Order: sequence, then structure tokens, then C-alpha cells
Amino acid sequence: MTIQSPFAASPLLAEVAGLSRPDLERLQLVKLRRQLARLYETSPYYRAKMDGAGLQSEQVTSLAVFRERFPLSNKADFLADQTEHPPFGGRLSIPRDRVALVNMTGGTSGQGQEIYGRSQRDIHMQGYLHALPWFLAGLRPGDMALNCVPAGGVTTGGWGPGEGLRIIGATGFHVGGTLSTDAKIDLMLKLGDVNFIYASTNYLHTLTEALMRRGIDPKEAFPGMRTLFIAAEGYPIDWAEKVEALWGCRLAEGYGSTQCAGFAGSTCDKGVVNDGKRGLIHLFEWENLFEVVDPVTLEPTPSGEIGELVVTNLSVEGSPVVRFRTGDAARFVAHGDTGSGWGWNAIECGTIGRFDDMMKIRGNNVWPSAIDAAVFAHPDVAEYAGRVYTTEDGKTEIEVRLALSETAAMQFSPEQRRALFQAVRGAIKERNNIWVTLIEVERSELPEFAYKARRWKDERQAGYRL
Amino acid sequence: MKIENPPQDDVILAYMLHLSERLCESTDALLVGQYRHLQDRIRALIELRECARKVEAE
Repeated sequence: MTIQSPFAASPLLAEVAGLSRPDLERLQLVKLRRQLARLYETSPYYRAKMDGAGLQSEQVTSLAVFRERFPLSNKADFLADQTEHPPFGGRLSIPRDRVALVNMTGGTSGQGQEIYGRSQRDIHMQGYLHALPWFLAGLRPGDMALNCVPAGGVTTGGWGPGEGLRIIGATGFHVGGTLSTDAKIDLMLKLGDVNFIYASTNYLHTLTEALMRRGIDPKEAFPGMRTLFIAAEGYPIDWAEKVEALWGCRLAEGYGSTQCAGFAGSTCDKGVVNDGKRGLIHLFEWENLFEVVDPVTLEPTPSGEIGELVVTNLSVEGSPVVRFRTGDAARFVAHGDTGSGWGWNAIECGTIGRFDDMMKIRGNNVWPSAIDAAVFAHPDVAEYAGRVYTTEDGKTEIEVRLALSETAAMQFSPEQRRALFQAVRGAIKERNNIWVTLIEVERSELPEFAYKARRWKDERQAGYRL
Repeated sequence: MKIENPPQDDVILAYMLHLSERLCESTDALLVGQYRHLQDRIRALIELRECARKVEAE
């Protein structure tokens, strides 16, 4: 079913897309100065930051002044602030009795969970910042939408999708974490006319794999499917193309986080792959100011290079972040290089990683997302788990336990297995410059991930992580 | 049962409902769902106040 382009369907969006870069930056500056003036009055944390830097909001006469003089914050700063002023920290910039929802980060880093107070206004905007990327990707009022990300709890990812589907006027089925994969498929078959699925990259892989295992052709079973929307993990281009072909619809991607209070950017109606090349996630820069910097020198990253995302919320009320180092690694594409004609900067699809996930192995910087790309470029691989460890004589070893897809596991001869393992091992070496030991295991020996996959364990002591 | 809230609230809500109906005529597909969301919240507030009034009438 053909639908209007998002810009034809929304004059508001067309107006935003029509902003020139200078106009967008003027808007950012107006919102930024208003936010800083408010934070100076209401947030002890940011007042101390501004006093420490000798900076008043009226002195922020340009975005360049802000970038040069406003101090950075990171996760450790926020956790220390929360310890000193529990539970929200001095970042909370609305009265406590106006906090209508609490969001916390997932805690997967092991350092602790950041806590964010949200006002009623923030909750609506959190919904909007889910509805907006999905609208860009093809979701429309009245559509039937399946949310496969676990709903509820305290995370932004648990609440935002529900609000997003509600305010755009779609019919939401929040099945993540509550129904098994087979039960989800049964539900989808009963519903028939499902138009939209939101899932982590990894879960979409699991769902597609399960459909194929049951002999269901997604394209035939769900002809009304318009968009598959993924987030949170990297993937190879081949995988994206294969998924689009199997489902007969566009694959779209968003970048978001608790610190961004929702999605901060998404693909346009072109999706994640264009002419065999990775697409772009266009950043909603009128809501968040983004800097992309070298994580060591903190200098701005040139267009086309990978850097760390630093985010400033321009209008969040409850617990805004200002110049927060996300630790997220992304390839930056300046607005002039996106080819979109819009004034929005962008980041590359499918390659967003974490600087703190990076492992130093035998002198190489190794990213789990790069290994994912090497492994999952082979469709006969269903899942894998990696382990880096030190042997008794002090050598670094890398073990990858790998499970084949059900069909390959049943039908492959020993020779075909050897060839596949050789190809996977070669692909890992080519992309990461490391040789690994591959071991075949049953699919049931490896976990299924409902949301973000954690496939790697680094068991080396700190002194051996070189 | 005595209704505590001033009757102006009913007038304001009725006016907001009327205005929201106009918003819901929007052809902007990104906004129309949000306008309907707002309208339905107003309708719910009107309904829960009417409920209290019905109890009082009985």
C-alpha cells in the first residue's frame, strides 16, 4: 500500500525540513540560552557548572562559545551528583512534585544507573520523539503496530514506545517481554494486517528466523507491513537487504537514549540501505544539540569520521543533560554531505557502537559491532558468543562459540561446515585484524536477546587488556 | 454530595472541547493523532465531572 511521503503528509514536518542550516542554528541558540537561564535558576548541578566556568547564559552569544566554555559531564559526574543529592541529583530542574515519571538507564555498564525525573510535558515529548521517527518511516494514524521491546519498567525504552503509538493514533500491541516469539507470531497471524514492527536489531533477526523456521513467508503472511523499525545495535548491509527482501518492506533505524529523552534521529523514508550503501540517521537537532568529538582530544570530528556523540537537551524540563558525553561511537556526516538538502547533520546507519564496549586485543581496537557485522554477513549463522581470556602462560585467546541456523545445522555436510567456519574466521580477521578460535554449539546453548544483545565477555585482568 | 470545583471549570472544558474539535480537523497526519489525544483527555475530564453531578442530582 502506497502512502504519502512524510513531508507531504505533515506540513509541520515540511516546515522543519525546510529550515536552512543557519536558521536551524539560530533556533538552537535561542532554545539553548533559554534552557541555560532556566537551569541556572533551578538546577544546583548546572549552576555549579556555570559558576565554575564563569559563564552566564547571556554570555552564550553563539554555539561556538557554548562548545568552548560550557564544561562537559559524563556518567560518573551524574552518579556522583545522585549520591550527593539523592535520588535525582542536583540536575533535577523542576519541583519534585512535578515529576510524573521516573526513567533510569539500563545499568548494563556496571557503573550504576542514572535517574531522570520527567514532567508531564516531557512525557508527551518522549512520546513525540518516538512518534516522529516512526512517522518518518511510514507509520500513520490508525495503523496496527507491534512493539517487541519490553514495555513498562523504569527505562525510556520501556515507556516511550507506548506513548509514541498512543499519541500518533496507532493501535499498539506491546508484546515485548510478555509473549514468546512463537506467541507473537501466532498473534500476528491472527491480526493479519500488521503495518509496523518496532524491535531491537537482534530481536528482528530472531523473529525473522522463527518465521522462516515455521515455513512462514513474511512477505506473503503480512502484505500490509510497511515498516520494520530497529534500534540499539549494528548490523551488516547484507543482513538489512535480506530482511527487506524477506518482509517486502523498508527497514528503518533510529538512534535514541535516555539522555536524549527518546529518539534523537532516524532514517528518512529511504530506509537503512540505499543503492547497496549504508543510509543515514538524520538528527532532530531542534530538540537536541549534537557535537561529535574525538574521545581523546575532544576536538570536533570531521565529516565521514567516527567520533563520540555529546548531547545537550534544548527543551527537556525534568532532568536535562547539557554537554553530556554519551560514550556512543558513530560515523558523523555533516548536513552538506547527506545529500538530503536538509540542514540536519546525520550519523551512519548500522555502525553505532560504544567506546566502552571496545576491546583492545593484541594491540587492535576491536568493536563487538564490527564482529557482529563479520559473523552475521553469513546467513547460515544463527547466533554467537565471544570470550576473550588469558591462558596460563599469559597469552590472549579469543573464543567464538557459534550456532548455525536450523536448516544449516541439519543439512550441512562436514565439508560445508568447514567452509563456512573458514569464511567466518576470515571475515573476522579481515574486519578486525584478529584470528579467533571457532567452536560450533547448539543454538539452544546460546541466549536469545529480547532487547540489546551482550555477546562478549572479556575475562582478562585489566593489565592484560592490551 | 457538594461539587467543590467552581462551575467555570465546566465552561472552560466545554470551550476547550469545542476548540479541540477544530484542531482535530487538521490534515497534518503527524499532528492529528496528538490533537485527538488532547480532545479525548478533555472529554474524559468533562465526563468525570458530569458523573459527580449526576450523583448529586440523585
